[in-house]
Amino acid sequence: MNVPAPLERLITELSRLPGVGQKTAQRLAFAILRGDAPRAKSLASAIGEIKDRIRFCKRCFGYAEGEHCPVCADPRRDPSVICVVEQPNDIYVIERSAVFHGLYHVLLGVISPLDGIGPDQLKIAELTARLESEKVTELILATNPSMQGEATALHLSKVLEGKVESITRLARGLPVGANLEFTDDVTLNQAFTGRQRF
Amino acid sequence: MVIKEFSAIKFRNYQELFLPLSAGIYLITGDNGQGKTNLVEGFYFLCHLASFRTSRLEQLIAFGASQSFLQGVVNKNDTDWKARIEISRRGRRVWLDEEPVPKLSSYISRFHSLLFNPDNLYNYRNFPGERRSFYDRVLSFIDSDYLEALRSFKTINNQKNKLLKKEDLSSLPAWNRLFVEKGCVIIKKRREITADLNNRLPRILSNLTGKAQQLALEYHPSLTGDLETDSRTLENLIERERQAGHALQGPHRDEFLMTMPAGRGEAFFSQGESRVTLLAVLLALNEVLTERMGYRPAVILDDLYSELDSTVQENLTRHLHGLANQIFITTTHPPPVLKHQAVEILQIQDGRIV
Ligand SMILES: [Zn+2]
Repeated sequence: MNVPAPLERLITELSRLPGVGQKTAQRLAFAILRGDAPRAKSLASAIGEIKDRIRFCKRCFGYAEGEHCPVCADPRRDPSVICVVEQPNDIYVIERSAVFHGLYHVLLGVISPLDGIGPDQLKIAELTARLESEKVTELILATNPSMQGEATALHLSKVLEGKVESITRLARGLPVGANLEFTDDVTLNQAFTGRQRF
Repeated sequence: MVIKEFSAIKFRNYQELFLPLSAGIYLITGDNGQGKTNLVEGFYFLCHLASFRTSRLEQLIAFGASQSFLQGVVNKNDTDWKARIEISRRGRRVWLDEEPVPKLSSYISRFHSLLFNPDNLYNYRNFPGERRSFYDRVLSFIDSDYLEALRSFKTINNQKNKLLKKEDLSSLPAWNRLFVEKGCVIIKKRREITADLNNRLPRILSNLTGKAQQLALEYHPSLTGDLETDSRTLENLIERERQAGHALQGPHRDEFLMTMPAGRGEAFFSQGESRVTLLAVLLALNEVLTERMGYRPAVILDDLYSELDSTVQENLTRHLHGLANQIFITTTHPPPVLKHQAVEILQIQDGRIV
């Protein structure tokens, strides 16, 4: 396309975002250009700040602004139950459904030899340490129902056996290959209430 | 299912073809190299979005063109579906009732055909993997649980094979557990269809050859299909699999064999026997599809009559006339028996119907 270089650059950057194709990227870029300058500056600074100001929670590896994420910092949460998820954004899906009142632990990935990811690259040692230092009675494994998510859940249930009273897995009902991210609240609710012991 | 309309633009040696069709038997005839197989390849592509002759899409596009188009009206369970397919070097794009189909797998699981083709016969006869995928295709169409188990198993197997080449095997027990879980589903369903086919094969083969004959499909799974037994087998196999760098036992190693009585296996069949036994399997699968799903696939029989003696030709033709499927037969030399039968003849010459 024959557009001025700065516009071209913005379009290229936007089109790298997930779910944004060339056409959408163009539409967004033109909308930003048409809008007023303070709005554009504010968007730019929001994007610029996000990598500086957001880090992983020291305890659960969810997103946090300070040392700890809002969930870990909330005294009303039940610290005896930990829900294990693949990625920080999975926390927000579960929070939205308001079905779970315990704490989280983010693995920051899932076992996948094809992608070169083994158990060592995940936050499993940190989870083990939490089970030893915190008073946890139940661990809910909420990895995605993909084969990688299933393998990760099975692996965790094997290596953590005996370190916690009960290990449960979200009930099937989530379709295979579905992502937690795209699961509706009702299904998620059923998956939590119908969770089963390993 | 019935293909009610078929058109092809710049597909193989067809520049522009429009063909109204109906249920019944079509005899596609003409000299070699005129486009008989190309035409049924088009019908097959309309069902499966793939060719039975090549995996390279550019070979389907007419010389000098950049794209091919196939279009068809397909009737399934009394509903007409208008399908449109665009084939380019880069890939396939599909519309169903004018709506783009983003996931091609959803299209492929909709229509099914049964194919007999000399190359496929050769592959079926000589390669165990081809026989496995032959039954996998049908089972995946009949049974969505099988399709799911098979897809999952392929992922698990790939992951496991990659893992076996690495240092840290600590997650192997987890992968093996999934491997066995999905493997057991696959083995159970492969056993079921084998038993189902074996109830039909002797009758159909005897029907075709005109004499009482035994024919059995033997299924030899590489594991037992029992969760606990197979888990233990894989546990004991870990060291050998680590050395080999890949999974040594599992549904990906299962064997299907055809035997006539007295343990005479397929390797000892004559050309004609191979041909007629595979036809018997196809006709048995047709019954299975109809009984289990109420579905009558399009039947494509490419170069059907060569290497069959005249008795078999006659019996086969009679059998086909007893079916309610839409059937496409290609042949250079129509056998005399067909002259007295109600068939629609399509005479092909240089990419046109004359
Ligand atoms: Zn936290």
